[in-house]
Amino acid sequence: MTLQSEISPKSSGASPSRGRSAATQVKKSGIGLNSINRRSATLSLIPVFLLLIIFLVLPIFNSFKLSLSRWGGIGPLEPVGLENYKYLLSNEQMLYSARITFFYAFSVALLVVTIATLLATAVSYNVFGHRAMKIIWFFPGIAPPTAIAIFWSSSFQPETGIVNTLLSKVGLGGDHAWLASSDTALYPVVFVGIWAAVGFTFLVILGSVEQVPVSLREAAVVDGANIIQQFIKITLPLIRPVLFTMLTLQIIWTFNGFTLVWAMTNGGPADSTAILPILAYKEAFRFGRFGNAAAMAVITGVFLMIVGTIGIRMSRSEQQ
Amino acid sequence: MKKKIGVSAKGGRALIAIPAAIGMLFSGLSVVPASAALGTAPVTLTVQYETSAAPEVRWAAIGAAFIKKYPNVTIKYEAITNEAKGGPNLQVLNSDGAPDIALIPLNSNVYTQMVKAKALVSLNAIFAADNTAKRIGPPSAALKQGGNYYAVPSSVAYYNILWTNPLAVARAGATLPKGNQFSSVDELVTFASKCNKAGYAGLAIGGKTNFQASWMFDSMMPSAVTPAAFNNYLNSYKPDVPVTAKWTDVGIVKTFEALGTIAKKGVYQKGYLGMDLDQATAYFTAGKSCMLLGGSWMPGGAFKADTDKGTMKFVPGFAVLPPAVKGGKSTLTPYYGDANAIPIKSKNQEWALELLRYSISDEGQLLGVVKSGVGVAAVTTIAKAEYASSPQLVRDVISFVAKYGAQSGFTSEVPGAYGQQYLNPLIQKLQEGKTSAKEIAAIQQKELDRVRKSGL
Repeated sequence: MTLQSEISPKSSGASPSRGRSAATQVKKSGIGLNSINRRSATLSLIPVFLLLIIFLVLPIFNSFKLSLSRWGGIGPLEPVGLENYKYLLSNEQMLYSARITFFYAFSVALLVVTIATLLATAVSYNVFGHRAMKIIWFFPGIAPPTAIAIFWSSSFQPETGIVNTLLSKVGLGGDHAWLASSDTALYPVVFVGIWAAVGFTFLVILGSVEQVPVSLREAAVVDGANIIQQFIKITLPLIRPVLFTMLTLQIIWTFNGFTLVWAMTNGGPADSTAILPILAYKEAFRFGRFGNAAAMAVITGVFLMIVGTIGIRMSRSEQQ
Repeated sequence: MKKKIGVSAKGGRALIAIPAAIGMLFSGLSVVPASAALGTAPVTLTVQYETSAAPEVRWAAIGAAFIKKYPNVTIKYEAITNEAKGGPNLQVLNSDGAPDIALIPLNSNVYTQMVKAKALVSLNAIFAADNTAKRIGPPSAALKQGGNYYAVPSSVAYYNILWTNPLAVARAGATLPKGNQFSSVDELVTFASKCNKAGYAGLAIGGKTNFQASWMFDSMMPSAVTPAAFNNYLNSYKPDVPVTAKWTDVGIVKTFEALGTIAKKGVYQKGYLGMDLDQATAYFTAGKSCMLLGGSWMPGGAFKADTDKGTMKFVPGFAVLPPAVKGGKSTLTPYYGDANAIPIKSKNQEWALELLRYSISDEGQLLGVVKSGVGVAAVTTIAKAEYASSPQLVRDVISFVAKYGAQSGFTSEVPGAYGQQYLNPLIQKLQEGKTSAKEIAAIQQKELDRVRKSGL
């Protein structure tokens, strides 16, 4: 029997008396340590709930309220009902932005996780230069997004950019203007998004890959499995919860990513790379339509909550 | 120069200014600057300026002179970025940490919303007491909102200047037009194609920025419409102004067509829609293009810096864009929009008024703008001789404007949500060949109807 069950309210009932231990007094008073624990636990949660209300519930409530209003950034809100939502759902640019945001977020997330997994596996098999790789791959992850964007937007310039210079050296032409065309501008952005995010994901997945017991691999080798079979049959199933978590996080981060795209393209040319966060920024700060921006934030938030929930569930079920 | 500021500078003006100032005092519309009544208690003024060299130099000069006059004043400077001044700064200006003097572009959403919410201190007193409107000249009309002044310009910037590289032009065997004014789009295209054949881009522009695509519209549009129509385009977004000129009218369509033709015929550098103005400027100063679309702040800024570094190995000249239709004439476009205002949240409004008054006085403009070599004064009362220490190119621009005049631009004058910010992506689309002039004209007309109905 545990101490808790010994002094549980069930076994109490005597009147309080002086000179006894606090636990006994509590026991005799009929309150019981469990209820005290519950009360103190509840009390200790109050600050947490307060913080949640102040920093999470109220902003969400305010965003929702703003999404039902017309507001130029100053003065009182003017309630307009669902007008902002109706406007957004019928607005061509909004629908286009939603499409490219999906493309951007999912393509970056999937490719980041795939590349990071392959790299992590290679490093875990001690390929040549594996120690240096751990550091080199992580570098882009610690560089500021603005610096990354400036570096790459210069690198993609025709004639002068390093990418074109390299391509011209191998005979593939040196005047590709990817960032200058609305047909192609998103692809360099996706590339840079992957380049910037692979390092961190790689480290997390590497940590997971290195948790895979060596004995399992050795047993597989004895059974005649080659490296690819070991990866597919042993490593991948064991690290799948981490992969789902990273995929979910990466989708959310990329979906909300603003800096990289803004610094590389300003959302252009002709709004062709205006992903939802950029469109929301422009709606709020350039056009003074904070209500529309808030409605976008609400729609995006709901979508990402669904993505997050699915991601957590998949990650959990894999763990189970 | 030891000239008394404002009213006393011109005795005759005082006769008009003093009764006007008294009138303002009794009207209760404004806080009247009255240096004598300000007292000598220590005060710290906060002043916003944009994070680039010229505004910093300008305010350093004005601030130093002001502190000399009023030793009890300390000035704290707050730098804000180009991006912030037209957008997120709105929240700062309405917070308890609002600066005493704010930097507000007049064609930005910040100005539109601040005026709408009556969140700026009226500056009528400054304009009345120092005859400021008259000293600025006709462009001062655009500074008025609902009969009140809420901002004073820091200086005037002329844009749509085609800076030329004489070495590249000579090597390409191209010739600049007479009087440096291209007479038609065809002439510009021919000029650029000669440059292209010699390995130079014709005209470098920062097509990625949120303003350069629409700049050229500002220059070419007035040449294609009547003055009355132009005036209507500038004002018809206000519901009380009747629409007499439609966006679908032939002059506007021809202007868009001209912009489309310039892009289609390869006048710009490769990848221009992926380059910002800084990148385009570096492209030009490195000698890769015959021309650069820029403004009057460049000789004292990027050109000087690159010449000092040794990366710019030529002395530029300049030319002017062609008109949208043959027979018209394009001119340079003035921008008075980088203005200063006082938020009602300012804690030192009277002192802020005094400092603003000083900044737009002849003495303030002379010290802050002209003698600092950072540009052209917003007031016309500065003698030409005072520009002796300014870069030669700036003096040439001033002479050019004196000879041919300057025409205000649509996107500089109307609120950005309807003008620059709205039009720019549409023109980028046109430059890509993904829309037509008629389509853009129709979209802009639709937007005009929407703005008139629902407001900005």
